[in-house]
Amino acid sequence: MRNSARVALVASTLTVVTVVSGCGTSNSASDSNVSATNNHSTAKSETGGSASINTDVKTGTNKGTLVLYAAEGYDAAMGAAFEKKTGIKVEVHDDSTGPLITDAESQASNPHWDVIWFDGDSSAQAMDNQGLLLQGWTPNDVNNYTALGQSLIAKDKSYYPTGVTGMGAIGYDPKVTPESDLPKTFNDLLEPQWKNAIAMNDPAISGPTYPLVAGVVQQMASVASGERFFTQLKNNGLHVYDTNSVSINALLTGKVKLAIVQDSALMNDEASGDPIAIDYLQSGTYTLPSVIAIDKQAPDMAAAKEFVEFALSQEGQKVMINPKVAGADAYLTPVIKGVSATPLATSSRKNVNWVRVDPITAAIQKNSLETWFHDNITY
Amino acid sequence: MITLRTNPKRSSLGNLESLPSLFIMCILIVYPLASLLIQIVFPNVFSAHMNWKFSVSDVGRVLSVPLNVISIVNSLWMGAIGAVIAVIIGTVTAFGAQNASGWTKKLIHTCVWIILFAPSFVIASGWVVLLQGGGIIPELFHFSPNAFNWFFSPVGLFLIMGLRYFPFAHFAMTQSLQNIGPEYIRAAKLLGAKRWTIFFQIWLRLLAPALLAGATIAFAEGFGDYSLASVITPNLNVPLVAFQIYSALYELPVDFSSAAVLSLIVIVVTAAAIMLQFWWLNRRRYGTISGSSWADVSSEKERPKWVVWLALFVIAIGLILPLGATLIQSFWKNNFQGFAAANWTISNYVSALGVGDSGLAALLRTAMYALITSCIVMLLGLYIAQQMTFNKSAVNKSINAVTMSTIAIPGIVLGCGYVFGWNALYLKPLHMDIFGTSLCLGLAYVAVHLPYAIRLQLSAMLQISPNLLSAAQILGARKGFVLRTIVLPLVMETAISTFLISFTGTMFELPAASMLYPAGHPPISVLINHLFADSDWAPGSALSIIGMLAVFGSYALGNFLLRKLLGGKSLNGTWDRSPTVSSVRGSTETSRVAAAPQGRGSSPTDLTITHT
Repeated sequence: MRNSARVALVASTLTVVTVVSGCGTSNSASDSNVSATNNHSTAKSETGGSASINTDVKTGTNKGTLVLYAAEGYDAAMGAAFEKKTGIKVEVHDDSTGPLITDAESQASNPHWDVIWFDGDSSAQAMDNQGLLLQGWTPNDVNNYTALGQSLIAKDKSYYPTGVTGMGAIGYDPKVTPESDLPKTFNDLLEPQWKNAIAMNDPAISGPTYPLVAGVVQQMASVASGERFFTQLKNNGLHVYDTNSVSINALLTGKVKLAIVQDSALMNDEASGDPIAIDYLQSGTYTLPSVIAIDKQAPDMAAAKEFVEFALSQEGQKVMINPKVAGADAYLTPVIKGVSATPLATSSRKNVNWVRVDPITAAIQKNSLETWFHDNITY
Repeated sequence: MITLRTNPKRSSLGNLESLPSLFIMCILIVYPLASLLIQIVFPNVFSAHMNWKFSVSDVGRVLSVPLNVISIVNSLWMGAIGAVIAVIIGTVTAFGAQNASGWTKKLIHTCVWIILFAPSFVIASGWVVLLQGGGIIPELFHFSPNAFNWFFSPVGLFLIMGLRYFPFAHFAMTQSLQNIGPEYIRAAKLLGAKRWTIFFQIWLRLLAPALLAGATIAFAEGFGDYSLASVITPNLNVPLVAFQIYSALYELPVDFSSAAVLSLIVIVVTAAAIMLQFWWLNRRRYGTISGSSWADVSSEKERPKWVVWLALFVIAIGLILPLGATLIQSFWKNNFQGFAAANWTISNYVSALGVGDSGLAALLRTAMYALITSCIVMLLGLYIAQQMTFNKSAVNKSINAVTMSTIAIPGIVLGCGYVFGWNALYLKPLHMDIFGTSLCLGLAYVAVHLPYAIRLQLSAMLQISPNLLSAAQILGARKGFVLRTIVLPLVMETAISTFLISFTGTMFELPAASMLYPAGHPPISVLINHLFADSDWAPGSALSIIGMLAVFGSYALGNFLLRKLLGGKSLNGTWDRSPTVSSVRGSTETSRVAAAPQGRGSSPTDLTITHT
């Protein structure tokens, strides 16, 4: 038994030494790459190991790893497409917008990310206000933007739109709720017939939802009026769930009758055969740009710029509008010339009263409104 | 006579020898936890615009937020009720096992162990998929989607907590039940005591330490368990403090001060609960082990079978319902077609296991983390415990205090400390800003498990007779030789147990992993939790089943190798003899049973691990 035990201890030690030395090897390899490029992401070099180091055969230069923080359905597909096209390794950190932004903000002084991509220009503007985003950079082919796209570019060029969807659409089950009963305005949601029957997302987590909250505040002309509306909505039994998918799940399973969510998420469920239909309030639906931005201290700035340009190219956009790889976020309205929306997105968005939420004002109010919502409405 | 034990080093050399252990503990535990305190009193130290301006004003601000207060109060009273329910259930199952025999006894113990071993978030999500609208029960019996609305409230939380944490009470009670000899019962019967009098006046009184230990651990677990709260808070709409800590850091807007202050409150409350238990137990003696030997000779007829059936019923509810629901859900396409033939699929498993898919990658990644963590924990546990046992320096006393106190600290708090401590701006010039790297998560995994490993190893080493060591020294053996040839083989079984605890614990560790995983490389627990958070119940359930099978498989393999290593001896046969040994085979939380004080009379050490 003694010998066996000794063998076990030696074996364990060897395992540790082998594994740890393996890590050390990859780290040192990455470190050498850092010194060669001076801008490689240390975080990813340690996690990605030797696989994260790619050599561009054409130029003979080493390329690092692009760290993409994204809350888009097409982010993994876009990462793969970009990697295939450029040879630059992409680490995609896919999460909800809230956790992504908090993660990026927590790293403010010591960032490990290069590009961030989510829904909601007001959230990007708020990050810009904190000095986290690269300003004043113009991608190639910026003239390819449609007029809608041009209008959504940040004034200081800190973020760029990649597509547009609608926030504040109403999802319902036609078998449960006849079309004639549907609400026409936000105030209609306060009627007793919708008691305990409405779901929306949590703006602390869901990227598209802060623009909804800010949009209501904008339309009701003051923060106090907006807060009063959400308080009344809560008193009418509002359910707040994490994200689009959870709110829609509550609709599908009969917990609620209406889900106030992003229209593209509803289109995706409709396309998959779920018993769901989309309605747009007459009082307005909020224009929701998906926006992409570069970290001011991006560890791999060159790759970050290259990726943003890829996202704005027709080649990249074709990946984004493919529902097979992009899921719900494929149902966007393109902002790049020469790119067509899916037929479902085109047909669904007819006769919509679009309301543009001012990102500057919304960004200024963001912290206090989100805190208020979290403390008073979410639970 | 001079021995390693009786002549511990007290010189400055002894302190020097202890410095590596102190350094390790500082890196892993002391510095991250100190970072929480630093954040509270220097609120801008870890922000982008770092400064060392002293201020405690944030404490008042954090405690003035109603949701923070509600979450603390909820966790307190709901955790307490959950603990009471856990103790009641644990008492039933322990009595059931006591009165069962053969395979029934093994079945009860094994099922309780599986419940203990299963991750909290899988148990909690199992209950959600069982009872939510479109869930298993409403679909099976064609109930209204809102039929179980009563469950999605604090009532459901009590039930989930009770059925989740009762194994702590079960194992604590089983140990005590075995130590109560028949002489007390016989004496009471001779004096004409009735059955209920015997139960309340003898059983419950003698079992008080075990009841308290079980209740304290269940409360401490429930109060700071992020793994449970991550499912409960969003789905049952009940704010709990562990979730509030996470949301302060990972939901908008970021609030470092809230996370730090709430973490400190969790530490204080958990420590207070344990101190209260110590104080209660020290008021009187609860010794039940006497010098006389006895054997359990009660006949089958004397054993009340209804207790056994009740125990089996409770276990079926606690185990089969949530895990069965997870299993069924994992084969469903969606939640609105229910049991219809067209709704059954294996695609959730296929997509999870597809080569290159995130599920399989996460599983393999986590297995690698678990393997490295458990090796390091086992070796460090051996090294530091050996230092503390045979080198009584002042430094080692401080390490002892650290390991004792950190056992009570939940993973969410430790993770919070790592977020602050290892991403500090002042670490950047030193190239020590390891936040966001796999190294950082690996250190956290080790930090979560190391205190348990050290306590268990200490207990094992303290049980080695000093005579054994002194005899070797008298015969001329040097210290290194004695450690290598006598001490190490005797503690090897415990070392392997600590390996298994760390391995299984790391595989499903959620709180630290949620906060610290490297971007784009989530461990399997984080991936499953994300799927559940997005209401992707079917893929999440499939991945949960795969993960649990992988952990069971790893454990079975480890046990098989252990049996080979120990010459046919296995840990498996020790269920009914030593719950502390059985407990070390489960997840990290299980060793709290082993580490819990059982009263002054029941154990010679603070830990009661038994070598069989």
